[in-house]
Amino acid sequence: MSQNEDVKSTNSIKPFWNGMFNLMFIIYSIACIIPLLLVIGVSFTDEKTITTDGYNFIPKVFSLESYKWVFKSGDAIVRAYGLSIGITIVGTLCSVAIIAMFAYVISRKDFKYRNIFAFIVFFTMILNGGLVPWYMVYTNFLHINNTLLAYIIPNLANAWYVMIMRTFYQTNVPDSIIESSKIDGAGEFRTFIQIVLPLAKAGLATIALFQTLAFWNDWYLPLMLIDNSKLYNLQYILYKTLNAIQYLAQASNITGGSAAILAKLPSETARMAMCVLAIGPIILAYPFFQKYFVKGLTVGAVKG
Amino acid sequence: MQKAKKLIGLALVTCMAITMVAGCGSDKTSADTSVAAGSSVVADSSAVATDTTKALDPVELQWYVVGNGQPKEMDAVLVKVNEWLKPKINASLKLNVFTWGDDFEQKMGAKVQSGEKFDITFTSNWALNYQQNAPKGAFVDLTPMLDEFAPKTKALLGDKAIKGASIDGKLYAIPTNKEMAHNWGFLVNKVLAEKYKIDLTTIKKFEDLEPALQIIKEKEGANGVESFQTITGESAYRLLDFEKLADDNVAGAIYGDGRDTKVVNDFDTAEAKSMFTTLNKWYKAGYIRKDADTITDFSPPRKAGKVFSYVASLKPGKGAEQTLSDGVEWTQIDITPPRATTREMTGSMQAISVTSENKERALMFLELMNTEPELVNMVNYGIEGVHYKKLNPTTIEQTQLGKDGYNNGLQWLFANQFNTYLFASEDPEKWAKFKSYNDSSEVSPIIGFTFNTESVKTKVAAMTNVKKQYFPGLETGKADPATTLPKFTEKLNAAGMGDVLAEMQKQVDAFVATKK
Repeated sequence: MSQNEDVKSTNSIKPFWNGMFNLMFIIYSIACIIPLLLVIGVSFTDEKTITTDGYNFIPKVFSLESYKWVFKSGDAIVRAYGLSIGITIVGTLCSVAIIAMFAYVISRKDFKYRNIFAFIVFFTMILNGGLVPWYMVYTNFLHINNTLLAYIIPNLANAWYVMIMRTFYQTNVPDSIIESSKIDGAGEFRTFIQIVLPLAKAGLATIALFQTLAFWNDWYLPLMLIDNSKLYNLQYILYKTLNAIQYLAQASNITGGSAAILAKLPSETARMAMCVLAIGPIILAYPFFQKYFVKGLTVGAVKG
Repeated sequence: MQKAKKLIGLALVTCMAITMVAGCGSDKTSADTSVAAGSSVVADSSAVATDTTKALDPVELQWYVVGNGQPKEMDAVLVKVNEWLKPKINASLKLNVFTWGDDFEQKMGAKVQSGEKFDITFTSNWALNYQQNAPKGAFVDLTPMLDEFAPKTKALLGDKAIKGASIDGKLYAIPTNKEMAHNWGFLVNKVLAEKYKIDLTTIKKFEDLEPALQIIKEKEGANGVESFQTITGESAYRLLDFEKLADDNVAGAIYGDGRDTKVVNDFDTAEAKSMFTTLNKWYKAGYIRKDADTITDFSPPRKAGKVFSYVASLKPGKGAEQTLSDGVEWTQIDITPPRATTREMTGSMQAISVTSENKERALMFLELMNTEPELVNMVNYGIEGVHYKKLNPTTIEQTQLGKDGYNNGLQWLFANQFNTYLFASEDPEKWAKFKSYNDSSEVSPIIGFTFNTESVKTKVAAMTNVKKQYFPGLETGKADPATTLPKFTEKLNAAGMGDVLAEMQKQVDAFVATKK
């Protein structure tokens, strides 16, 4: 007991600095949270109040008008919502499976070609083919443009996460365990699924969280690969609305008159409501992964 | 040794992979071009044959345009459009409306660069840049095809528009038939003007607005009314109406009144200097809001009636149009006379892609869009009785379904605006007024000229950066021209303005010489 306290006192920092660090992080957290609260506040404010009084955290005139607009304007947003959720779930499961398997194979020291395969992955982190060849592979060769596969396939494997996972296996799964399971008569798949994966849970969860975020927040793939407006995901609808408003505000020589076109686009509050809706599910995903998150990220450091 | 061997092996494999990919690429393109050449030959002969027979194969035409995104009712409208098109040219239309900004730019950029197959696209000087893409060979040269496949369109547009939209004498896209000139002036809040008995008829030039601004500032300033809303890009500077040679961000223009074709640094002319001085005075007097050089969200205060006046691009009926969309009554005051420049001619056009397999049919379709009121109205407003009701032969009213599900607002984009129906709220004489506006416009001495930036590209980019740094302050009156303007000019010179202006002058002179 006393020894424990000893360790604690040598490892702990002075109360003053402890307070300072806490203060620093409190300020940082507030800086992150406040804009979010403002967005939520504005989304519930009456549109006219914004032009007269500006933005407020607590709506002066409370209104659900913007949310009504979002759901009335369409099945488009509701459909996009469903699509986003579906793509995120399917995409995350598939990509985590592929990353986990690939990383496991190149982490095994007894696999002869592991360096070559590791290099193939590593190579893509440094060099890539550029935009036009990238586009041509998906449209002219794989023909996945204008299908839901266009959301999933390009994000399936991520070189950086493969590297993280490989390191994770190497440090957390001792060779002797794999060897002993082999002696006990387990095949490669059984070893992988029943022995290795449970040991790598923290790493898998971390990567799953990153990939969930990547799939959920992705607007670039539909920008390049999806023409059919029925297949747009939520983030892309949000992105293209905001982008259009910005573009129209700057383009003065549009023939129809940019101000006239701007008038047809969703109002300030409606945009905020869309933002709030887009944040929703991903906030729910965090607590789910949190348990493993810290553990997964501290991998590689010396742990007590 | 072992390692070196491995490395060499790897290098060899990589080389092989690269050559394989590259080989595939070049193979494919050569095959493509041969196929394209072959098909166009076949198509040519078949087109000649179809003069008498109707033996056109059924084809699908893919058309991409920019707008507010794909309307919900598009599929239903296209069914009707295709029923109409089938007996005429045996084609069916697939129309995709992308959204302003990246949605259109990125998608079309990728399609053009990767050589994807499609037939028709919107192009202009502000979206999917016509002057950049056409010379690169993205669009079909329509000049030799016009007489055979679109003779009526050719007559309709007239020589002025066709010359204005051509690059080196070749027409790569069909301009939309609409207002083909521009002028600048003020939009003034009518309610406020009447309230303080301001006589708007006396305002003939920029400086004449000052007494009115003073009154508004004194009486309404406390209520948060901006006397003179100024935003970057659409500021009072527009009233000088220089004809810019590159784009708005690059110094170098000729005087808009066509007095000569001498290229000057328009930012540092006597006229510009006196305007900046006046604006600076107005800014100090509080007629212009303090953060004018940074705001982009200018529309809410206008709609809230908190703006007394601002500079706008005008055309006949602009005030009425703006009144409708803002819900605030605006009166327009024309300051500059209507002028026709290359910019208006290339403001909205349809090009046929070189990757199209049915170039002739695409042009035949555009001919129908330009000549058949029924077709152009169907594409604009949807189906009669479903998306709109006719009030009289030329006036319509949108139904609720039309407003929610098929409200493109792209009359200025789809081919011939003069054939489109009007809304009940619009001036019934709108098209007649547009025609006389077009006819009365002064034609620029260098219409059809496009500056090729290729040889001075980096200098142009450097000048753009300098402009973005200094100009917003000057055009909104925030900066004092006495100190800022010399600095601005000096920085422009350092960025290579001398060479750029010389290159512009050289190209303008060469263009003028060929016209004589």
